[in-house]
Amino acid sequence: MTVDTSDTMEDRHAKLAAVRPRLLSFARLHLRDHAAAEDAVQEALISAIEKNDSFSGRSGYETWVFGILKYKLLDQMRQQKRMGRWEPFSDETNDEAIDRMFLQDGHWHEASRPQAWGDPDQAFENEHFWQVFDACMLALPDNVARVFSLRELMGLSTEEICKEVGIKETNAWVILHRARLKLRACIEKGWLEETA
Amino acid sequence: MSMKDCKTATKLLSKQLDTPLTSRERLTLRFHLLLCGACRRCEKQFQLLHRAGEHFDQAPSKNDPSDTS
Repeated sequence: MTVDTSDTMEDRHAKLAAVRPRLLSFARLHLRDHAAAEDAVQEALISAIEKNDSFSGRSGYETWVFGILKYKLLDQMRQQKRMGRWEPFSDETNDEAIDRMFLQDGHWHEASRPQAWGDPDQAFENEHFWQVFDACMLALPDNVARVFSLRELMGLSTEEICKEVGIKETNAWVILHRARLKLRACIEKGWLEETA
Repeated sequence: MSMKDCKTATKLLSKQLDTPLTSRERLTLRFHLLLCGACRRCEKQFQLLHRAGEHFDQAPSKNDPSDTS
């Protein structure tokens, strides 16, 4: 990645246009809504142009723009929370989908036993992997997806997440465990079948 | 945690991505993984998911249009 604070404004615009598709898929994964994602990305791009002079070159330019988007997404989430648009987090009741993955003694159920996915780095280069990832994220319940996304996409610590969404840390671990198991199972189903 | 308890093992596999495990938890998990291929694969997959976020703001995507005209 070339980090250059001497970019002309035109260079910057070109970089923004190039990074836009990735900003959009990121925002869509987090917001689960295409129109809302378009809005958030639009705002982030405008901010990036307005604040152009404050880019110090300490991080890559694209990373800096992603930082702006993440800030917007967090801000938007806080507003939604304030407006009471969230379903309350249910307490730690049993999750049937997870129970079905294991036998009574805790061993993997034959049908749910993880299979090899091949080279993980290749997965990230594979467009189909991301389509499956996207679909599997949408299949998660809102609250579960929100916590997973804050942790794994936005990179917040579980402690920070608890402050943002108002849950206990043990609760966050339970939610993340379930999210990972469900995503893992869903991706394996959608991805391996196609590439087999 | 019993030797066959993969469900608890996955709980620790998940937890170690969010917070350091106690030494007891770590040992129990390592021992389980030695004997359980399914949970070793699960560990790799959890780690892959854990790195998903990096993909967006670091790796230049090959799908990006290079011409911005």
